[in-house]
Amino acid sequence: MLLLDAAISRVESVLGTIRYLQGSEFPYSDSKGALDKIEMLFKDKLNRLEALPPGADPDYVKLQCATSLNACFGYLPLLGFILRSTNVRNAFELFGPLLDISGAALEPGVEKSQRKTQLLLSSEWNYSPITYHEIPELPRFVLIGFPASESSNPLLVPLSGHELGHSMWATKKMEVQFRPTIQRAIIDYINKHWQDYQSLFPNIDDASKLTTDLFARETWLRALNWAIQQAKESFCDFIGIRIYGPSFLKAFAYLFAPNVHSPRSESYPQSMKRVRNLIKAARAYGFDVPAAYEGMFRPRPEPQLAPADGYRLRMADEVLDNVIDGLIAIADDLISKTNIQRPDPLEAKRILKHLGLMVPAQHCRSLSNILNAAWMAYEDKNLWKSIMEEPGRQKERILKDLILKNIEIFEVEQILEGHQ
Amino acid sequence: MTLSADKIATYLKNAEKPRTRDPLVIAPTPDLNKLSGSGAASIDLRLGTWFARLQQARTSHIRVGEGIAQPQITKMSYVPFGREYYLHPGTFVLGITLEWIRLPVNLTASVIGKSSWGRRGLIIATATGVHPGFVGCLALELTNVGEIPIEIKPGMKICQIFIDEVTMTGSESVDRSQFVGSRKPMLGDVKLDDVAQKLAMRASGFLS
Repeated sequence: MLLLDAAISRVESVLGTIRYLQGSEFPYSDSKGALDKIEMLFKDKLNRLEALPPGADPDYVKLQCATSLNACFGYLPLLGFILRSTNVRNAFELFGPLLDISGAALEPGVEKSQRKTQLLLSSEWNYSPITYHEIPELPRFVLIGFPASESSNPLLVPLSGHELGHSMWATKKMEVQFRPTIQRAIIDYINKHWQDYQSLFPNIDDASKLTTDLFARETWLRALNWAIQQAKESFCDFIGIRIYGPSFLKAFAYLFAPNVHSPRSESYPQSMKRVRNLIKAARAYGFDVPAAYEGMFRPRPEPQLAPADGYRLRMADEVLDNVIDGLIAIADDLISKTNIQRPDPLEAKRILKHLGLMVPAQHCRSLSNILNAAWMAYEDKNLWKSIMEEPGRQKERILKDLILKNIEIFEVEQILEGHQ
Repeated sequence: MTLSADKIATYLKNAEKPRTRDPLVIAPTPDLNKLSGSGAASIDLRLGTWFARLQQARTSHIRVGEGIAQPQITKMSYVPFGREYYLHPGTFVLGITLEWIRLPVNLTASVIGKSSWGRRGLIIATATGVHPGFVGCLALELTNVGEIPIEIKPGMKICQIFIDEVTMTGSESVDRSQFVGSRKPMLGDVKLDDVAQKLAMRASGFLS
């Protein structure tokens, strides 16, 4: 089998799959638009492969084949994500309000009708909301995927704030802003724990060359990257809290508490530290924290790492503490500069009164207020007991439908206001 | 007694008062000023965004009493505002009202198609009675009995409801668990009740 033939065949198969997917019933054109962009990418890959002359340099042919193979690996899961965005399991009523919030966050000051932000709202077969970040072909797309089993559960919508945070981290170039601070903290940590460092890396004996010597840099670069990843995930959490208030904390606990058995990822803060940071951010923003919140979680085990990596992870974990306050402040600042309304407990209570009568509230000021009211209704053990004999059996289904209808009415009102 | 549009508007206005415990609610609420002055005896409702059609190719027939889950025999579609749904001649689809409705214990309602649509072949509803205490969106049975495909759009006026007062005895209470709708069109159960089951067994020779 010729290498090039196989590469061409693989790309053609992906293109065939894309054409098949283009026949899907897309409720919103953003998904179709994303598919069209990916099709262009693969057409380009195919053209490049087919244009290779018979006598082309074998290494160059290998390079082109590898590039196209990378694209197949990289984009196939995304195609699945796009396909699942058409599944009627999804709560499509969320699309408009989430697109609105995404556009407001990423393009503050730009008129709604002029915004370029697009949204892929889908579901995932991973039990955690996931996004495909920084896709070169889809620079203006925000991707939000809920676990398939929860994709019509509006109570989890606040977690989309975390996913939006990833897009904000990229577009606001937050890494550029935080990398120097984190790097300085890494170097400070090494200097503070010089004996530990030297026992692991005896070849590096000059602390003044930690940033200039290539071999020395190699010793802490992974720690830097882990710390940056942890900072990014923390920032995303704070964006979610700042937009959605207490409902973010409740949705987070619903999906993740008390935590799974598997070891924590190096890219996320230690599980209990993450929870404590959520609480810290909520308090900094002036939001209520659910009672005994931290107690709902238990620590995830640490990963089994080689001694040097263990040291690097301890370093990343500690360094994160140095930037948490800054991340909390910048998330607040970024959202404050948008027209995204701050969660309002009084408005949430007003909405809750309507939900208590089993009707949607009208003239809501924000999605976050609806979701905060929704969580209060969900937690109310006496909800609807005066109007139904056994609300327990049907409560969740009715409440989810009611909340989604409330969100749809909120969007209808926004559309009509926009035309006045 | 059927309520005038004026009276419906009064009920809807009262729903906004904080002490109203069992209100009539239609959300989104129509323009009450227009409603009050309309002189009508009904209120128009709009088409919602969800549709369900029966999967003919996968279903041999529907049998009474068989607990077939709705996803196995229906295909759900979502049509956002601004998009359209084409109802071809002879086709049947379940739609849903955009409005979420809550009837108090003293009101009942009937859903009627709009004659302007009927004259074009679009029949809106057959099961028209809405019980006191109902909560949710109203399912609509949409059929094109004409000869030309019809384009329908979420948000357009699709039907009207007439609301009647129920003669009260003073001890009314409604367990809403029987009358809770949904935001999507649902088939609901078609089960044989006790009487029908006994009659069916007699016919099979199990009862002497």
